[in-house]
Formats: sequence, C-alpha cells, structure tokens
Amino acid sequence: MRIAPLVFAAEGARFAAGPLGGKAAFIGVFVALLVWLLLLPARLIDEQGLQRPWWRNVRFWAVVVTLAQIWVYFYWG
Amino acid sequence: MDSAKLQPLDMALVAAYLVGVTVTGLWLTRGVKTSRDYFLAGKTLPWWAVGMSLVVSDIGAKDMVGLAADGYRYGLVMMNFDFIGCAFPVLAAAFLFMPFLWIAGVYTVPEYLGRRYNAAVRTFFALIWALFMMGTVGTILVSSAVMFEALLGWNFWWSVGITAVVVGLFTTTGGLKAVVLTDAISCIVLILGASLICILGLHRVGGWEGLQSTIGNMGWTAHHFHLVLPADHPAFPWPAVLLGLGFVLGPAYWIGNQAIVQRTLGAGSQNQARASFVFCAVLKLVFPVLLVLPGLIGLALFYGELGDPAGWDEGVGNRVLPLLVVNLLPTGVLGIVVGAFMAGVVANLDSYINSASTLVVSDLYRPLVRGRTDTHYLRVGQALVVVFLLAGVAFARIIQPVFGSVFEAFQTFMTFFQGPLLALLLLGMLTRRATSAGALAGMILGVGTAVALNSARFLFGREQGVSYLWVAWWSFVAAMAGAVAVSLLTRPYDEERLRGLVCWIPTREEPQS
Repeated sequence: MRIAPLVFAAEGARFAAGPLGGKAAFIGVFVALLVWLLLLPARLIDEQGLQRPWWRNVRFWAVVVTLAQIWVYFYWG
Repeated sequence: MDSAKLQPLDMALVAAYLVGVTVTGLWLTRGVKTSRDYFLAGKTLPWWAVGMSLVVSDIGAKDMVGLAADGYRYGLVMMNFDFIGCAFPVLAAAFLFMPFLWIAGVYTVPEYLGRRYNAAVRTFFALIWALFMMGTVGTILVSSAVMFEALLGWNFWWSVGITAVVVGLFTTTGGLKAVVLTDAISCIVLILGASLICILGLHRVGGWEGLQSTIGNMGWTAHHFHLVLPADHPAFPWPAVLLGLGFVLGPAYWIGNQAIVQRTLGAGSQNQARASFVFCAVLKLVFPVLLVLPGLIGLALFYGELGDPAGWDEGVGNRVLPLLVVNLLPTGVLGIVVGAFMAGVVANLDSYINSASTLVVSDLYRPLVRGRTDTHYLRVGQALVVVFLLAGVAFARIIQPVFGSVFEAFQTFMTFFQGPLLALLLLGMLTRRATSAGALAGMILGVGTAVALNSARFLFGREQGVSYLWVAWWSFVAAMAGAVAVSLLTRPYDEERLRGLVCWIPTREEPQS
C-alpha cells in the first residue's frame, strides 16, 4: 500500500518528462488563458464597458486565437 | 554561389516597393511638429496599422533568414517562438498590462519603471535598452547583408550602406507615424512574399505529405514535425521552451519591449491599442508557418547540397532561404519576394531605431538636459536616429563573425536582461510591496545570473553551455527572488505614491468599485 503512491509519483514524473506531458502542459497554459479571457470583467475588455457586435469584440477574437493555439498544440504537439 | 539574376520585371517590383515606402514615409513627415508627434505619432494611429506594425517590428529579415535555417535544423519546434512565445503574452499584454502604461501616460517602459521605483532603475534599463537596440540594429543589418549578397551579389558593406540610407531617409524625419504606416505596407508585402515561397516550395516537394515522407526518411529528423520535444532534448527541451520562452522571453518582449510598447502608446485610444494587440495575435497565427516551413522545404530539396546541420560551418544555415528563393521562384515572383525581404528589413530596422531614439531622449537626455524647448528635443531625437544607424553599422562588423546563427544572436542579446526586466515589471504592476531597493537588488542579481550563465556558454563552448531559454528563466527567478527578499526588508511605499501605477490602486478619476 505504501509503495503505490511512489509508483504513482514515478509514473507521473515519467509522463511529465515525456512529450505527452509537455503537450499537456502547453495545452494547459492556453486552456487557462481561455478561462481567464472568458471571465475578464467588461471594463478590461472595453474602455467604456460597451457590448460590441462579435466582429468588433476583442474578447471574441482573443478567444478565437486561443482556441486556434489549443488546436495547433493538440495536432502538432 | 546562390545569386539570382533579377529580370527587369523583378527590378521594377523591388523599385516600386522601395520608392512607394520612401515616398509614403516622407509624405507623412508633414504632420510632425512636436516631440509628441514624432515619438508617439500624436496618439492618432489606427488599430489595424499598429497591429501590422507590431508584427513586422517583431518579424524581419533576421527571422526570415534565421528561422529558415533553424527550421531546417530543428523543424516545427521553432514555431514555438510565435505560438507560446507570442499569442499567450500578447493577449496578456492587451488585457492586463497595456492599460497601466496607457493610464500612466508614459513614453517608454523605463519611464514607467522610474515612476514606480526610482531614477536609478530607469537609467539602468534605458542604458541597457539602448545597447540592446544598437545590437539589434546590427543583427538586422547582418542578416539583410547576407540575403542581399546571396540574392543580388552585393558585397557586405554595400548592402549595409544601402539599407541604412533607405531606412534613415524617412525614419529621421517622419517619426513613429511614418514608421507605423510604412510598416503596414511592408506587412502586406511580407505576407505575400513568404506565402509565395511556401506555396511554390510545397508544390515542388509534392505537398505536405511529400514533405513529411521526404524528411521522415532521413533518419536524424525524428522530431522535425513536433512542436513539443522531449525534456532531455539538447536544444529545445519542452520545460525550457515553456518556462524560458513562454513565461519569460515572450512576456518580457511583448510587455516590456520599447519597440512594441511605443506603437500601442501611439494608438488613438486604449480600445484601439487593445484591438491592435489582438489583431497582431490573429496575424501571428500564420507567420510561424510562413517562416519555418521554408526551412523544412529547404531540407527536403537541398539536403544533398547543404548536408547535415551537425557538420555545418559558420553561415551555412543562412544559405537555406537564398537557395530556395533562387531555385524556386520565377520572374515577377522573385521581385515580390525580394521586395518582401526588403520590407522585413526596413520595417524591423525603422522600428528599432525610432524606439531607441525615443528611449534615449525620454530617459537619458531629457532628465539630464532640462528646460529646453520641445523643438530642441525633437531635433535631438532626429539626430539620434542617424547616430543609432551608424552605431548599428559598427556593431554589425563586430557580431558578423561571432555568432553561428543570426536568430540565436538576437535571442542571446535578450536573455541578459529580459528576465530581470519582466520580474520588475510584474512586481511593479501587480504588487504594492515592491520597493526601489528591492528592484535594484533584483536587477543586479538577475542580470548577474544571466551574465554568469552566458559566460559559461562562451567559456566552455556552445554544446557544454546552458541553453539561452534556461538563462532567461533562471535570471527571471533570481531577479524575482532578490526583489521580493529585499522589498520585504525595506519600508513599503504609501498608497498615494503608487496611485495609477499598480493594478490594485486606480487613479483618482476611476470609480473605486
């Protein structure tokens, strides 16, 4: 029973050191960025706090860029 | 060796670009009457032009030549410089950091640091930036000379001289507005030219599948089609890429680089500045492909001539792009691509020279020579453009034989102070507790760490030394640790002193909610 956590930790470290762990880390950064962008208060998106149509909304385009990055690292990672 | 014969149509296209950019730049000098017009374009720049200018201020001749060489050597992993090293920090800068610089009403990043900490920190970083920019100007001139030599048969000093004169003509008189609007033209030409190389190159190697199978059969290219390499990879282990590039070099460049920040401060409003950053991030989705793919195409087509990069002598890698251009492109297209290369050189060079001049006048000259007229500072700024061009030419001579890869040279310059700069900016903008004594300690410790780690590289050789990505990370960590420790031991600033400079303490005009 006491060995199980050590084995788990060793396997975890091996996974983290490999390319799959790296891929997960890079995607994780962009997922965190995506969540942050979606939760940003309107005041930090627009000086006047206005709701703009999607094609003039910087939050929308920032989310598009972030999703594209997640796809890129998922596909080419 | 790889020289191309430009046909009359090619020469006409190149001449049209050069004349178009110079005339546009000179025409825009009409509105320059004050130092604010010259250094910040009177805060009238549109978001789309600033966004395009941000892209070509970052990507120029050094990236076209350097990333093609490194794409040949390492493959897709080089795209990380524009993916994790750009998209993540650019979006963070747009929504979190840019508003502080905007509200503080500063001209330069060291000016912000001076207000947040003290004059010593401001002067230190202004001096370092000035040296860095001179080095960057030299780097750009070297890479342009390499390309012009290969393409047009010009000798090194002839290339450097011509480039300096063309850029100097409109940058000296037109200031930021001329630089940004000519950059927008250059960005379009650059995208067009780089796309043509990729499309024609892919066609020649049998498409994406043909490229993958040709390179896959080489034996030593196991990682060429992966963005994330194993943690024990000698050049780009993923932890170093993520921590050094994604968390330090990228953010320091996009949040703290004067050439970048100055453009957004010249935008018409805070919203326009934010939109310009996001537009830059959208454009940057395609640039990594346009810059690294030629290296892979070059590997598939010219491996027989260029060979295994492990055995390359100095400068061999810089031949990848010229070989592609000379062997792939038909008349007319060659003119567009040479024009694109010139666009990269001009846009990159004018950005750095204009920013260097702004920085020296705002952070070094104005504090020393006070009480002069605005016209005086404007004239000094214009004279400094010429000084920086000449200094860059001299520096080009020094760095030419020292560094194997032009792109690596650029990255090495940055690692000396990007980590400490980022640590001080983050602590300054996000915490109340950071003090000037802490900043000085962090700065000295961080730069000292970078110098020590980089020295090991020069003393024991490139293979034995520490990767510059790790240098960036550890210098950041050292600066952060030094700044936090000493700040906690010294007396904190009162709230009024920090108003408008720290995230959690808004200016008086803003609602407190």
